[in-house]
Amino acid sequence: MNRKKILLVDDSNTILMMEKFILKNGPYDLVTASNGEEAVAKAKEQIPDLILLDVIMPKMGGFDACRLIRAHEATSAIPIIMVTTRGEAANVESGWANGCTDYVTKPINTLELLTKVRNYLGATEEVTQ
Amino acid sequence: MSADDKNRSYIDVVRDELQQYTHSLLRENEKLRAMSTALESDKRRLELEIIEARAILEQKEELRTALESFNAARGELLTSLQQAKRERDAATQELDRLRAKFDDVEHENEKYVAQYHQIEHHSSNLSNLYVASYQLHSSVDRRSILDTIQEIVVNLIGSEEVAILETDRETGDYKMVASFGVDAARLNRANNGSAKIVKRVTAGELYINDSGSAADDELTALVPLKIDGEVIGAILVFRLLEHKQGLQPVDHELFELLAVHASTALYCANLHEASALVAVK
Repeated sequence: MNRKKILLVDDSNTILMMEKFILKNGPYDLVTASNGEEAVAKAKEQIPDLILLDVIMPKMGGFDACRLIRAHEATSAIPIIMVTTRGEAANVESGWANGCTDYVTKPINTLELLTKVRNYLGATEEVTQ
Repeated sequence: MSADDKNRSYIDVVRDELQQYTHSLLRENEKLRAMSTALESDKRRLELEIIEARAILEQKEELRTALESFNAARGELLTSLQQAKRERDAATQELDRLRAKFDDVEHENEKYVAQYHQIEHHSSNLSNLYVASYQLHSSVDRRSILDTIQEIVVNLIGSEEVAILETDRETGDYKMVASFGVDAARLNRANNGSAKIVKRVTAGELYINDSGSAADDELTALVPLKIDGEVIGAILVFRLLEHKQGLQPVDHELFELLAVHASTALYCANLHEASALVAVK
């Protein structure tokens, strides 16, 4: 099975745990980071296939991290899904402007997240919890 | 007349008669020759007619043979046609059966898809509850638990306006010990000068406004924190996130879970803090 690597970035343990719960039974290797700086470093080091990126985090926010990941050659093409509590148009626009690929809103809807992850990673396996 | 004359006369007669007879025979011969020629001609004509008749007979025979072959082929075709009709009828029946089966399978599939979504939904809800309770009991540090309660409200319920009240043991009043998106002034406004919220907290009953609060000073939910029936505080949830359209059944379960697990987690953390202080002294 062709396993894909996903970098989960959030300063909330609750969200990280929730994302792991949703994705752990799929063909995915999960890597976590708790702020933007760590996310950029791990993205360069691990070269994941997909990044789920929180927006508001300590040290470095999601938008800045997204921009830095896009600026680095090796990570520039990685799909980035912003995970945000703010679903307003202005916030989403900022995400696009900083290079995100897609976004999901909190509270996370399991089916919505799985659908988007499968869409970007092309996985066909059923992911169940 | 002498005998010679008589003989001569007789000979002449005979000769004349012979000549006549010869002429007659010659004429007859001519007639017969003509007849023979005619007969020869008739014979050739008849032979040609016989040849033609034979040819016609042969053609007729060929046609008869062809007709027989045609009839045989027609018979075979009719048999094949009947066989084909039977096969078509059988195929139509099979098609109807398969269509019915396909409809059944499609119906079954729809049922399974609905069940799958229901299970996914149920699983997601259980995950929420598991994560919430796991996080609440993953630490005995008071600050960490207060942060976790806020995280649960922000990330799992979907409100960025939350306040946690606790009973002051000395005065018996409720004080805000942690908040996200809510300050003391906001809380006072919500309390409406008539202890509106305090009354609800004291009552110790879970309050939920399913449609979510639209006003600045109205609650979406009030989760009492109780230990052995005694109210030790409350979690106040104000407006939901803009994209969250009201509360779901899982939110009710999360509030109920918070009512039990946040209370015990906070109580344990307070005990831990107190015991640590005693140990220091």
